[in-house]
Amino acid sequence: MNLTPDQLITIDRHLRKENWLLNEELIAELTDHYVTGISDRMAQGQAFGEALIEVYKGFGWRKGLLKMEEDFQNSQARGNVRAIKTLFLNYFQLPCIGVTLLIFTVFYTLVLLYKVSSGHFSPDWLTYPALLGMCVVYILAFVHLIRNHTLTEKKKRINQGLFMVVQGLSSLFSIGLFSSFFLPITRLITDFPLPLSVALTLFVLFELVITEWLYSDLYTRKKTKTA
Amino acid sequence: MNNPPNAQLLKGSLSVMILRLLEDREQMYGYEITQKVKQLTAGEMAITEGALYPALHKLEADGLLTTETQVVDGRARKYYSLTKAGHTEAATRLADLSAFLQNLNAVLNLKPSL
Repeated sequence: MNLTPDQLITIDRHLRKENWLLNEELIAELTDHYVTGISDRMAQGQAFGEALIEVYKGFGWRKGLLKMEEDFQNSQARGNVRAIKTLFLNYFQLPCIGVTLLIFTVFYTLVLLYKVSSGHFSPDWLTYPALLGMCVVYILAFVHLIRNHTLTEKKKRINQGLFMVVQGLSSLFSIGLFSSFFLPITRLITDFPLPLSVALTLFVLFELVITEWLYSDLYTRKKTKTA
Repeated sequence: MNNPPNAQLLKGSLSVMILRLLEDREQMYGYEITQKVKQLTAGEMAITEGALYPALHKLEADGLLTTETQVVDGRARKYYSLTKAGHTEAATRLADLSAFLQNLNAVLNLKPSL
């Protein structure tokens, strides 16, 4: 039995306003449960209000629903940590370990190059490229922001992924720039080239993992909306 | 769960029941699981929504279940299915529970010593 638009609105109001639920993903799941449960009960002759109360009782009233939302958010957080950890560990297994080795080689080569020719470089060796990188990234982000107004919904969603990559790069350059102000970079490069290269590699890997995870999450949402 | 004694017994085995049902059917949604349990036990056992969804969300967070949302009758419906790790875990937990039930049965059917 199909519910009327008014009855659907009542269910939505019941979950959001009367029971204070906020998590959209949980509300969507519970709405489907309420609608299916109430439809089944109405098909057996129950009135809408009576069926709604019965389903509500199954969830443990307001207390049960709020506890469920809290548990759901905790589970989601735990799931996210697990997903990020899995993605991160992937970069230390075949075939992704190739990417890790490549990033490490690039950093280690740069650090060694600086160490060998440290007399010829100015102290701003890190500051200027970082500043330039930041400027480029911020210009890209600004252009993206302006262009976003003229894009269709579909293209906007694709662009969101690009925007996340830009944000990752932006934080990379920001950290490079600020660390050049406050950390003894020259000493770190000359005295600890290997640990520094490892730390930089891990940082870039972390950025890659976060971008990949955000992108996969976005892709899942996109798939849901277009299904 | 319909009454307190049943609720206590079901509490520990709910996740195994979910894993077993999903092993049998490729994917199921929350309401479908409650109805399937009711149907299989001829209404003797009823899983309340308040117990089912937290169990589903926990199994998902543990990486044993994966979800896919499909639009049905204009609204989103979340389907749960087993991951590769979920299939392995289902087999392990089922074996554990079967062994436990056998042992429990042996104790419950204890003949009084003469």
